[in-house]
Amino acid sequence: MPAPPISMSSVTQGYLMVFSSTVFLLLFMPLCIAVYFLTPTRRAKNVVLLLFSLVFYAWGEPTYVVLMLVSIAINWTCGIVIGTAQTQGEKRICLAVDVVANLAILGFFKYESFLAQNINALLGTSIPDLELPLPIGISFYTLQALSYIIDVYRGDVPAQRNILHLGTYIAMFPQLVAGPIVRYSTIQEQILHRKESLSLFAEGLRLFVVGLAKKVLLANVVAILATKTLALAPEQIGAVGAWLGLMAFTFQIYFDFAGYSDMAIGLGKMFGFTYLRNFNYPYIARSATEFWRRWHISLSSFFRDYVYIPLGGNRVSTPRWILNILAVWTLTGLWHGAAWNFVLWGLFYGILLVCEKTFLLKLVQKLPSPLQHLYGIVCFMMGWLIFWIEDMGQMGHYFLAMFGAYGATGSSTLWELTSWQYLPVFALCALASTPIVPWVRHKVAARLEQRPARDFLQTDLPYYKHLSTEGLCRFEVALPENTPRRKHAAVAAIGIAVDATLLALLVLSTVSIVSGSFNPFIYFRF
Amino acid sequence: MSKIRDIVLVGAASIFLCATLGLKALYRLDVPLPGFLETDAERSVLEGKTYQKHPEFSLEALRSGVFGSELESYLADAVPCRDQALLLNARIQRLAIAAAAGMFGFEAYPTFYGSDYAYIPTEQVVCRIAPHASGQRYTSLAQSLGAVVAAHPKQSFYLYVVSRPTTTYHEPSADLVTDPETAAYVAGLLRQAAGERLNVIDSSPASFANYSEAFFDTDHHWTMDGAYQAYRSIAAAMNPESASLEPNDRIVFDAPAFYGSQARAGLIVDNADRIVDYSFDLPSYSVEVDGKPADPAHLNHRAVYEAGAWAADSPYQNRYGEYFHGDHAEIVLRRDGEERSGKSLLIITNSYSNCMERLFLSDYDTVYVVDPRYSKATCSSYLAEHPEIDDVLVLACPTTLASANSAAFFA
Repeated sequence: MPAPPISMSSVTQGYLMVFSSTVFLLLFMPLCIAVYFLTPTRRAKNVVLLLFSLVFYAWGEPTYVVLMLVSIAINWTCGIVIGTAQTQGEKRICLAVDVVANLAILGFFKYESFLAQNINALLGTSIPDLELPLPIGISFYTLQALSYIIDVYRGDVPAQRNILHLGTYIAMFPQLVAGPIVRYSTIQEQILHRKESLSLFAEGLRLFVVGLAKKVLLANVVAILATKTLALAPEQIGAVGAWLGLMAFTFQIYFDFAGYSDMAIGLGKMFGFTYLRNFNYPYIARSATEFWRRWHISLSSFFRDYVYIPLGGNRVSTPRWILNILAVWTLTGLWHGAAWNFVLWGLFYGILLVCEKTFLLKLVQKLPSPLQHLYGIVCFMMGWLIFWIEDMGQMGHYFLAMFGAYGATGSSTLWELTSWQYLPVFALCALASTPIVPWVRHKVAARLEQRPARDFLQTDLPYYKHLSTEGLCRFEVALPENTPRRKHAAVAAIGIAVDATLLALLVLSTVSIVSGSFNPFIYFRF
Repeated sequence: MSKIRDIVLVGAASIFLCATLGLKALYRLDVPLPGFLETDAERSVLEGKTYQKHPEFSLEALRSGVFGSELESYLADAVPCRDQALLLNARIQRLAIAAAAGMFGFEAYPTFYGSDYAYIPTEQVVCRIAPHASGQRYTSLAQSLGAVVAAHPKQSFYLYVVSRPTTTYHEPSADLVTDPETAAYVAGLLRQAAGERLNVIDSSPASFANYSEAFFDTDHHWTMDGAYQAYRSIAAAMNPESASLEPNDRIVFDAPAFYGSQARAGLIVDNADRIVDYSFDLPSYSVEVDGKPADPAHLNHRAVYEAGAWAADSPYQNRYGEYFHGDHAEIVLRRDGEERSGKSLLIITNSYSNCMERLFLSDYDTVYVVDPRYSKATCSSYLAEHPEIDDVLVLACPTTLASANSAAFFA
């Protein structure tokens, strides 16, 4: 029988509520939306969001919800103090206190075990390994809180005097578990002055459905292969199994994370919030540099603005600049997980980015476009290999398996590898990784509007600088005057077909969830 | 126009997402609903499980995750048309898998992603994907069985390992898995542990085609054809001087068609099975089930089927259990009348004996049937309680033999 959704109780204490669960889809979300829209005032609506967010959090972390409340209280207090401080020195001290407090909480719960094990191994000490369960979303809400306090310190935003409003921002359930990391400055006005509307709600719903389909129909399916591959020894899978297993993980992590981001942004829109994009077709990148402009944009921009630039960025000597890059990427790797493979993963990208910025990118850009894309694919797939396998020894054997050390299929027959079953899904995943939908929309709109199509990748939604989520799930055509009625009908028909497809995806996704499909969620560890 | 589209989209999505709890509320208010929208069923015949009841809330249950987990199951079980949802999801996945199998020329493929069952379209058979041979699973049983055999020199011990249908036993798919576990492998392991006093009866079919006839296409049980072949092999091994029982007729019940255990577990209901039975001239006998007298008709419901009176009209019903009988901890069959062999048999078994244990009355006065999955006794205690037992037959599939119940029974 299909396995039930995986309980997260091995990591957390409770039962994590994820967007792709029946409790969320059939109970929590409808109830939250109903109560929210029945609530009359803006302030009361924010309280509703805060309360539902705390329930959402407490569902999986009934004990650690206190930790979140403490975090909110500390950041609110420090924000007020910074906002009312008379001197720069006072502000600096308060900022330091707040940053240390936030990082201490994050460090203690996430890194205590890692530090204890490594220090004990290195120095022969006996620091106790407390094996603390990881509070859900602590990495995300801590960075959000830090972005708030630093922006207050810099004077970019005023301190939020209402603790409930700040709590709503920090605890907001759409982005709590898996981002995007929403900067306070981007939604500060929206907390009190956002405007819900039917069109925004519908747009958010469309985006939510797309994200749900990515997560449930794509990520969860390829996850079965990725998990099975990792459970087998490299000697059992050979080169075919190793490459297809890595491909499965490559698609799993993208559609899992991007799907979750889409759902978060979509939910935000339903409540009138507009967030920035978090993923912009990263797998079409032609270099590691471009990849990180398209992947987890909110994280890379956080580290750029709050770590890299304060360290001097690239306006320093070359050795110092290299050090800055490596420091940022080591932190980025560590943020992803308390294990050496994540540090290695961060350093992998740090070194690669230094190489690209100094000489490599110039060489790559001389290659034909398909080879540039191939280079990009190799970069991020090798990166995922390091990210995926925590045990270094196993990683080494897996790498060897990929290059034929154990034959084509290892000790297994091709049939029992099961990778062949997923080829149709891989084809679908590959297509869904490309901006085919906005490309088709772009072409259709241009044809209907009787204008030439622009350079799509440089101007439209897949352009890497396009961070807005406006129009992500909207098809608008500015038909000229005197357009024949049949063209208006064609536009309407296209819109209806798209909505019918989305409703079908919602049904299929729910069917899949009900089937108890394999439902691991990679980023729960953050 | 876009506003109308938005309204329709939001409305349709809202109705869909609120349908489960909305229908539950209507049901509680005694609003009549069409059958296919029922959300308050207690049990699923397709899944063979009892649906999750509404969980009791407590802070401890919330803290431990039990409440969240149970609520998740409760809502998933309450979705209307759940069976159809499960089958639809599996069918969609199977379309992709079948397409991939076609590309590689594979004649068998899993029934959905992550399924333990494969479908062989050329044979229209659903069977388990053969597991890898692993002696570890049988270590406990092997040790215990060996000790019991050694401790009871007066009894003769026989072993018949039923070849539960897997990919290994169907010709186009025989080599799909490296080093597959077979009945012969399991029997060999147990024979090695128990020594020469354990007589292993060969359970290999004569051919792949014969194997397909011997077992249902969609269920893990054997048909009466297969059970009778097994009986003949066993009878010849245990009582070579006696002629085995011959059937009078063979009947196939076209109705009710049913989807067996493997079709249900594999979520593929394309082809149905039918019950096959033989009739025999058996001596008159009495029956006890779990210590209480029972009607011999309890062991075989042919009369019920001939009268068209089978229970409940679900194609997922366990018809094998319904036609023959369900599982019990102990069944005792005793011959009536004067002609007696003076011998008694103990069959340690699972549901595979349900269709054929009565056949052994041709050679034995008393047949004791014990199922280690339900019995609280051990083999030694049972033999001590029934010292008249001459022969002991272990008749089970590898799954039961590998279970903790079997190891405990022989402890």
